[in-house]
Amino acid sequence: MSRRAQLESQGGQTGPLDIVLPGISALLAGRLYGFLALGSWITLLGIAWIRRARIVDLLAQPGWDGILALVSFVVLLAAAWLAGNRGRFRPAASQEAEAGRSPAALASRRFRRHHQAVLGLALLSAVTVVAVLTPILAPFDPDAMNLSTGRLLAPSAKNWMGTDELGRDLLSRVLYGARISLIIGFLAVSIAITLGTAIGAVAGYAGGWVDAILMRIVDLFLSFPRLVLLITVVAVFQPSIPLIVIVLGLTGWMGVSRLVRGQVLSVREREYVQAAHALGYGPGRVLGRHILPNVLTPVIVAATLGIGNAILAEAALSFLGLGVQPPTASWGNIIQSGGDRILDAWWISTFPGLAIVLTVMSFNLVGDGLRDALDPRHVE
Amino acid sequence: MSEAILRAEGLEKWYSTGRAGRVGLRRPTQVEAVGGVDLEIRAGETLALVGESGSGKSTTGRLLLGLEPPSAGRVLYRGRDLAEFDRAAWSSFRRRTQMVFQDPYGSLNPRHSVGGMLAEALTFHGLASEHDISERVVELLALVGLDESASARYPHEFSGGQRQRIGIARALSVEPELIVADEPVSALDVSVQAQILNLLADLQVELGLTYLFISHDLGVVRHVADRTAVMFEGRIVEEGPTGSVFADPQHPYTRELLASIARPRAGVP
Amino acid sequence: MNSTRLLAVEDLRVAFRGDEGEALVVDGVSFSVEAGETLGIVGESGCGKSVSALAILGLIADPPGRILSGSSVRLRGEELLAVSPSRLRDVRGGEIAMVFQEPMTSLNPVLRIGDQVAEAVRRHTEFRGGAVRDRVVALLDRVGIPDPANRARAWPHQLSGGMRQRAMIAMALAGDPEILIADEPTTALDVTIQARILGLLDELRRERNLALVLISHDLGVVAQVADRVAVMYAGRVVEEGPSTRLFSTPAHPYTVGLVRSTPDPDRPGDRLAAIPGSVPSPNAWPPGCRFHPRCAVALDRCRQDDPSLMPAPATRAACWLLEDGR
Repeated sequence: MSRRAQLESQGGQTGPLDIVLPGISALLAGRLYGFLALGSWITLLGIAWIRRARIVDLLAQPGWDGILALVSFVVLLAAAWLAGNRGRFRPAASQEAEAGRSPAALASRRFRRHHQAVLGLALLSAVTVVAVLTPILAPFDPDAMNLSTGRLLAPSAKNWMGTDELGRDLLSRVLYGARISLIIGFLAVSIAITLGTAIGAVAGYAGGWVDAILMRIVDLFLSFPRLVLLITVVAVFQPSIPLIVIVLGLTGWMGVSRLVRGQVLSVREREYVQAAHALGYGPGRVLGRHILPNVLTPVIVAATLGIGNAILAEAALSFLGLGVQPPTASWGNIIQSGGDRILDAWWISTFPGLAIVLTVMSFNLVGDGLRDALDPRHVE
Repeated sequence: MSEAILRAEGLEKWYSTGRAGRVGLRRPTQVEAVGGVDLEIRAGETLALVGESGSGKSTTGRLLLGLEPPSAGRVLYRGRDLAEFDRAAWSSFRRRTQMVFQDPYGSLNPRHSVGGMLAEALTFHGLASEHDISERVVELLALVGLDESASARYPHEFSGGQRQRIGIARALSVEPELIVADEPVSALDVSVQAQILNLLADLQVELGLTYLFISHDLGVVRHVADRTAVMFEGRIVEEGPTGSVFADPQHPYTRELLASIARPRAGVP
Repeated sequence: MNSTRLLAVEDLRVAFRGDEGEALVVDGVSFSVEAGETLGIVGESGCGKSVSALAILGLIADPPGRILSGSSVRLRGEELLAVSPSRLRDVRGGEIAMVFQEPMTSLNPVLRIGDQVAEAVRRHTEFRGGAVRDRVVALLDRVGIPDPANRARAWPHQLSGGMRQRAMIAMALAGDPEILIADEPTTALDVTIQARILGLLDELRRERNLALVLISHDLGVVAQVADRVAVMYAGRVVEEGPSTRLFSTPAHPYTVGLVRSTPDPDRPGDRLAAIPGSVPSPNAWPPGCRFHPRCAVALDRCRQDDPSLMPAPATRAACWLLEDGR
């Protein structure tokens, strides 16, 4: 048996120690997931201990934010525990080996071999978890001002990222800003992907004048400069998060639609699609079950890269004062507020800037990794 | 004389190569793929459609199955014109006729497991209850010589010959009476070809199938077909019982085709 | 082995690195060819025939492939596997030329046919200037392209498959090579065109006293054109000998199986004698004789010991059945 097969069959390993330290057995056996499970477990428990006072406060007076954070915390903890104890519930290692042969499983194996992509995914997960657990993690209230003694303090042990011109702790603001940026990014891209896929798929499959008309519409939308349009719309109507999400979504779908259309055009002629027609399947089923699953690869890649772009667009808007409005923190508007003071209070603009760089870079790394892992050449 | 299951009358198909939506004086050029084909496939026989690339044989196969509409002429299934089919008629026709494709690497959806693909066909046509589906899938796989473990696997895990078997199983899943086999063995190695040809022959006897066998390989055609029709540039130039066509070809193109077959040099038994 | 043979390949071993480690795709292949004769190499996909041909010209990309030491490819005694890159470049096209299967992808789609042939002429001959053009037209004419002077200005996509293959042959001949390796030259072509291309190759061989190595999976093609044939299976040569005798009285069970599973247009039968099972993958060569799992007449010995080529009535074959004089 090859070495890999041996390791696979050992995957079901769990011992009594895993109840308290999930993943320790797998870690000792050299499996990566053991390291991840145990690492997450310890980190989460550590956070719970360090922030125990805050958690107590939240339990007393939760608010929606707090409830979400607490629930997420429990879910993450449970997930880490289950991951470390998965051998307990899945005795048949062979089941795993079989499930491992689907194109999705093969792609995930290839992805894991890309060190940069895995790094990107790790960073992304960290950013997301931090954003979700922000109410627990943030050391201070992001809106709590200290106009007397706390203004423009440099980074210190108390304020890890310093304070801004109103005495608010920058770290807390950056953490809360993460949620805004990520939410806007995800939602905007979701809209763009859904719209783009639908239009592209219909255009590619139907062909003829339907295709022609839809593609002219795409050209029309493409001719609008995205940022200028954003600025105009937001200036005319009041800037608000839903508005930003919608405008970003409605201006970001065109590339996806072209991508999807091209893929659908090529997949449409494949023999397995002809076979589906020969079996009497209608256009809806053929498009949905047979064509689209084979077309989604570049779409997924485009989505990950698109989120990065959306975050940057939001930051640009906020920087111009047309995005998320103060006092709500977003990375863009924090950078904007620190713009005048870049020389004497460098930390205000720098930290959120670094956060943006880190996040967008992670998305790009993941996108690259996905592109290679999902390369259709491999599927054959 | 057995009855005709499928009949083509004056079948024509042309494609425009001009761009759609182009406004202007230039008329799109037309490429004629099939230019007037009359053909009849009789129950229980294997009719071969022979020709080189560009002869229109694959297009004819697709037209006969209604996968593309003809530009002129008509296709009759048991006397009924395909153009007049309503939804129920199409559904029934799709069950009674099926196709096996040439390229084992393109004819199976890479995202669907073998069992999933077969189950979808069975469920869609209501041929098996939820209860029986996995049994029926295993039966189908056995029919084409594959083990039941194939059901959970994906196309990329199989060899070319095995994928062709899966394609045949897919065609058989709806219990057809006629199968159009479009170059079913051309992409396979010689030793595998023989296996698949034997399989098709066995299935024909076991299940009482009728075949339209499209191929460019004369050796294969001689081996499998009862009657042979030779196509050249969109038209049928010769047709008749296979033995006669091969022994005494009438049309110059048929003669050229037969003369081109690569054979061992003279002096060999 | 006589070192003055025109081309002598001896004990060639080529390994490829894949997902599951290194696999020996060509494992100890030997053959030779002389001027004026046609050697046919026949085998199914995965047997290593194309890789062997590429190895002769040093066209194996390293990584992922590499030619193992102990292999020898000698051109008139000169060891090509040890020669300098510049000498190898001279050999390619100048002394040994190759024609590939897919003319559409072997020809540069953005250069005219005439330019591509001219490039080969300039590289391997002394012709310059106007003489090059004349030579190009002469070559295109010789390979049977009608109206060669005008056709030289055509782009590959404007030619039919057969014409493109002829253009490829013209390019191969530009350097006046002594050996022409044709790897599945007619597989992508129609039957009638195939016959003509094979005829062309045969004519050229006689005219120029070329050594022609014809690689194909199609037994008919090889049987028609070759003087001698080597049958490859799973990285090895399992039988070799004069073409007519090899196909009429094959000794190795694999060759027998191949011949019997090829439908003969002159003799329809009821059932083809198919070889059961399928070709093993290079990662999992069976022990002993590689064909034994599919062989109807395998002995116990075949499971353990790997036979080398032994004399048979008409040919040489790697089969233990021959040892007992059966």
